[in-house]
Amino acid sequence: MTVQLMRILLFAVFWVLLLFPATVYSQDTTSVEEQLEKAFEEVDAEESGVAGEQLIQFLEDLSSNPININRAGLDDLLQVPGINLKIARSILDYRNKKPFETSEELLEVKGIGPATYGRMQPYITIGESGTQLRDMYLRPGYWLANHKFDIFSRYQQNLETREGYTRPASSGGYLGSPVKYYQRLRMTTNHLSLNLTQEKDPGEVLTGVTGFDYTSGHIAFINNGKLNDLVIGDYSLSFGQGLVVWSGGTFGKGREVTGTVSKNERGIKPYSSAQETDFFRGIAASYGERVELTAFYSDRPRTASVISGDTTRFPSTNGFHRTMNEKERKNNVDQLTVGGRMRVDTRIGLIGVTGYYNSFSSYITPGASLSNRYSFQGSENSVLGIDYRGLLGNAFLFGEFARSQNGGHGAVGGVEAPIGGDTELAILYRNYQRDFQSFFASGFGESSSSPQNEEGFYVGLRHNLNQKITFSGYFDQYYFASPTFGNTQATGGFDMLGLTEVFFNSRLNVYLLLRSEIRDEEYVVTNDLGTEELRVGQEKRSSIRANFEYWVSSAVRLRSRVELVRHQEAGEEWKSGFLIYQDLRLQPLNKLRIDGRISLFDTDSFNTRVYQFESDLLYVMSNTVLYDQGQRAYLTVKYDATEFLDIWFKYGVTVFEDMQVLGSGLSEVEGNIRDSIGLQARLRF
Amino acid sequence: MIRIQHLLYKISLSVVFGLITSSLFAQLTMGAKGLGMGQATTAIPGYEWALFANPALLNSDNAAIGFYGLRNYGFAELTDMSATGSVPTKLGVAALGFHRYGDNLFSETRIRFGYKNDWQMLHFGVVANYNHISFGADYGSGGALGLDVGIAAELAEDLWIGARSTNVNHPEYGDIDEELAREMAIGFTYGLNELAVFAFDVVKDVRFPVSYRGGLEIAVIEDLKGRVGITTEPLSYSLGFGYGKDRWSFNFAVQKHELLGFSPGIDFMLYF
Repeated sequence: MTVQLMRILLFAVFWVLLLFPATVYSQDTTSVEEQLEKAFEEVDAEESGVAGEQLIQFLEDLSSNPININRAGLDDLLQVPGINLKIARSILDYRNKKPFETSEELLEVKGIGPATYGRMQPYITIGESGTQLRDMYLRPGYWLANHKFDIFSRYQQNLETREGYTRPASSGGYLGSPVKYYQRLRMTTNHLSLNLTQEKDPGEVLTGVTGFDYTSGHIAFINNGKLNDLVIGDYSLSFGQGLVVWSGGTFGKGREVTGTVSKNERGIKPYSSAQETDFFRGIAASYGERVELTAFYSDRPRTASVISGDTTRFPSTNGFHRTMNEKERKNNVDQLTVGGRMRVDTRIGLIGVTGYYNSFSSYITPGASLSNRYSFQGSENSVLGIDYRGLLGNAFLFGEFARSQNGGHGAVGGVEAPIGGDTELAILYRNYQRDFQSFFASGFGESSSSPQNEEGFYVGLRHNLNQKITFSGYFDQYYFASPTFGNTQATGGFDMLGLTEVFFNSRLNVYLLLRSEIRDEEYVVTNDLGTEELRVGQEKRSSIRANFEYWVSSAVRLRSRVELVRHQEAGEEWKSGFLIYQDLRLQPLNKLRIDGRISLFDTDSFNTRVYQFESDLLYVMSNTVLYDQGQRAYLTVKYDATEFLDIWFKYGVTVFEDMQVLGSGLSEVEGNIRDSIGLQARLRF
Repeated sequence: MIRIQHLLYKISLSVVFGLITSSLFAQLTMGAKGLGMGQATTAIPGYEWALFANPALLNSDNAAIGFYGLRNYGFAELTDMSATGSVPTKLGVAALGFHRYGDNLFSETRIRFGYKNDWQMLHFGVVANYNHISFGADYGSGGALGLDVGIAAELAEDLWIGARSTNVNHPEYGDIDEELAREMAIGFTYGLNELAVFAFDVVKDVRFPVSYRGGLEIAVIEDLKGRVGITTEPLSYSLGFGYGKDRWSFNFAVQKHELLGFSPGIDFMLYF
């Protein structure tokens, strides 16, 4: 079948499914998707890809294995979005008096309002209140209790031919096919997790079952007496407020203005994501209750650009090995990491100390630009930090202080507190010195990379005017003491957000979102003498969005959006961008969900680009960036074919105006169309 | 020679007006009620000319036929004429429409076939439209088949939302390599009370600036309605009135463009 014919068929299927649905229906939750949209809606796909893919997996897994609020310990409760230390303690106090009989009872717990409840609802369950089987390790029933097997197979492909596939390998072309393929085998029980994930990116070579470019696996023992976790294989680590180690994705600045600035550590988590670099490989364990001790050892190959001999750049995070060059340098650096943590649950809160030692087999050297002046250089590093989470009256306090081997410091501290019954406040201050080198970290901040060279102050406020209307907003000011990318001197700026949400009734909600950011930026002018002069001006970006969501009936949801963006580079004119979309979700059967959307976008420049978060295959992060002029449409179908088989399908197409060529280099495509297809199956038994 | 001059005059007139008004050549929305309400027609329930606006809102109460004429800016050469007819059936509403703009030297003709139904309180419609453009004196012509889609729902009593997207299949006039206009619109209509209806649309043609359109219809006295509307890109305002009985109605509107002047439109509807 030709690609053209396939497009026509897909287009026909698209509209037939959209316009002539069947007649029975049901409704299911969309909260996981909505929370991801709130967290990542303004983040570029490449940036969100690293953290987003893991976060989506974490939340989807949590949603399919919800936390039992009658039995879960403090750490498990803290995994749930919306639950902070104060709320977790209140839940424990509440259930000491009586167990929860319905999840709505959580609304009676101090500190949980409808908004917080809404955030946590997909991830909690009442379950049965009983005691755990203890000390029965020799019984197979103990290890197999509540066992689930999942087998995933996912295929995705761009339907146009990119330059990389037409060019011979000897001239730098891609070695493999344009198919992106992922498969995963997983078994989980109450006390055990086994996983094998394999993936091949577009352009990479696949040679049989053992020939995947990326393979990840683990065996993990979970909640076995005082041995909380023991993972052999791949795992992620997240501790404290993220200044020493935090992998696995995190919420940052977004539409949730309170409750997301502090972090609730997830500790050791068995790793099963397809994100190829943000994990550890080796062994890790944590033991204890009031005093919890964690130790980890990791030794894994990394890929880095070679500068000369045994000198390389910092290892890459993209995981692509598509061309001969990329393949040649695959796994050319070895990274060894050893570390530990001690956390004590005291009367005044949770206090933790985390540290690690890391060494690379090569000598890492950063680029020569001014913005890299304080980047990590050398082959060894270590970071040590102390962190705190505790309650002071109604206020939840959190903070972490860390020091890297070269003497650089990073600190973050904040408070989240209710003010009366209808208002929540969040305040955070961070100060990451220019020479703070903590490359496993993910601290709160403006920059999406590791916390370094940033001082800032954040204030977020959320107020429920009444049961129907909520106002939220934040203001965040930041300063970079040494040059950032594209600048030669210190710069700063601020961004702010204002959000009004109106919940007319359970079926209709509308919000109006305003964002504005102003930051320093250098630009070049030609002076009267004809020579170029560097000046500092302000780069400004602001946007306004009206979003409307309505359940027409229990089987039909409409979502409409209009967004306007304005951007001005320092020393230049204002430019604008526009997005309008109509989204339709149909659930004609209990087993079937269909999402379709038509969007139209028109932006003057890349800086006035617009983002749209899309429904996609399970565990796929889809935050599409749109710029220039054009239209986009997509269709996603989820079908639960049998009790043990779920199928996902997606087709998306973007048509640009007045373009003969899209992209550049190896990604270049002739024509003005970009379309892609995805198909996924999951077997569960 | 006269014919060529006339043709050049026509083409230049169309191009100049096209550039100014952002709608190349003919009007896309029809009906004097819509014109009077600033062309905010995406969410007007049961709108007689919904075949040319949002097919999801085709009149499902009774069969109807209608005729419409619009003289753009008072120029006879820039006249739109159209007719529409719709029939509710057990399988949904079927509609047929015709639209012609221009004269023998330059003309644009559209034949539209529409279908509307509802499911789970969601109204949805689709239009197949054949467009033909012709330059006189053998200067060329071309045809293209486009597909429009629309949806609509009543959010609360007298509050409607509608959305439509035109030419979603990206048709092009074959011989003259000209793409058809592609628009997307989202609109609301709200019955303020028994006397007044307010409509608001956001309309974006992929190649032109976003246009905001708002209109108000007020029952002045029994069977007589007055209308007022404002449209941006191009900036214009409009006034109109309608008079109707059970079996027929008559509507008139005039639109004032900031620079180009007045465009009067008139329609007549019959119901069966």
